Amino acid sequence: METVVAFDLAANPLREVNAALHAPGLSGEFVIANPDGAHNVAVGLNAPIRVTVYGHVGYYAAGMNQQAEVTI
Amino acid sequence: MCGIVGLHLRNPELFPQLGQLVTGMLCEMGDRGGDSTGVAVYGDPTWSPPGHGCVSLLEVDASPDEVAAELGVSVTQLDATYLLTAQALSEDILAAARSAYPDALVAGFGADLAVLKGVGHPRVLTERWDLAEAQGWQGVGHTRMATESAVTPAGCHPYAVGPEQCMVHNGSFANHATIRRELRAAGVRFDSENDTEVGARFIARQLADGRDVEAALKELCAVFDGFYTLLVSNRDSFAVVRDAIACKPAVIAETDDWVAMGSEYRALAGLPGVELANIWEPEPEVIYAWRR
Repeated sequence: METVVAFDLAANPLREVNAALHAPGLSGEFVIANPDGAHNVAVGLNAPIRVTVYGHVGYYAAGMNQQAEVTI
Repeated sequence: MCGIVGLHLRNPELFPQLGQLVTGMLCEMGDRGGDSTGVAVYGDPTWSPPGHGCVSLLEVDASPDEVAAELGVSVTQLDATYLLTAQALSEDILAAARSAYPDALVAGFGADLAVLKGVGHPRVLTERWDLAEAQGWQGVGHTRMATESAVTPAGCHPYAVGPEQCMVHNGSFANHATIRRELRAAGVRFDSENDTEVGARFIARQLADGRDVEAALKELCAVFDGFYTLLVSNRDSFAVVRDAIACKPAVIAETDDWVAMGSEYRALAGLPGVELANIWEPEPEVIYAWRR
């Protein structure tokens, strides 16, 4: 079973998290904690990954998504 | 865009944190427009001491010491705002100030209310005001992206035009010129060409005629065209209403300890206990009101 990669927006800058989700050849499952209403969470995803965001998000969350399955 | 925030505290143990919480909310909304910033604080023991009337003025053509000597009041300068306090009714202090300084801009008045506003970003102005140190039971704030009138102190929100009252607005009224003309004809005085001031004066008139805040806001919805999310506060009430289309964002959160409203959830994310709050988006033309 694949491991789940966890990000915490209270600790990791949003750009870092989005950049990690844009890495080439990405697959698997990701979770994002503590979005606290931030804009642009998990935007522009273009990999067949599953992303779960635990909490409230602001504008553009999961925007411009191509192949990912994003659950907020 | 503009950003609006409001915090109505129910638990007195939180009163000492009011300024710190409102500062966080307002600065978070700074991205929605940093042309000007304003805040109304209800119940700060330094800015509006118990047993005193308080009047907030801008653009006074005299130094704080001169105003204090001329009017026999205490004057505190907080950046562009002068706070005048004395053991008198705020209406009487206001009348004396208007007579001595007819060109000054009245930002607000009441027994418990201090209104601070000015041109600039919330991060800069909240620091100059030392807002984080303020205490009280209620705070309302606004950060402006100017659309309908100039970036001047007169165009800064809140509009606090009736005793203890305050209004902040995200949006723009379409028929404000017509309503301003009607109110002027009825003897109402205006300080600016700003659309929000028309809404505030309209509500103040409704309240002065004896209507409650729900009835006043219902009448506003019937008379005003345009886009609006409004937060209307008084010393004992806190109310939110949105126009029929409700395209201007708003989120309300409520716990046993407080009621809060913000243009976006992120303004509320730092409030204590928000993870257990009841959170919702206010419905179009529904008036939400709370009382102390």
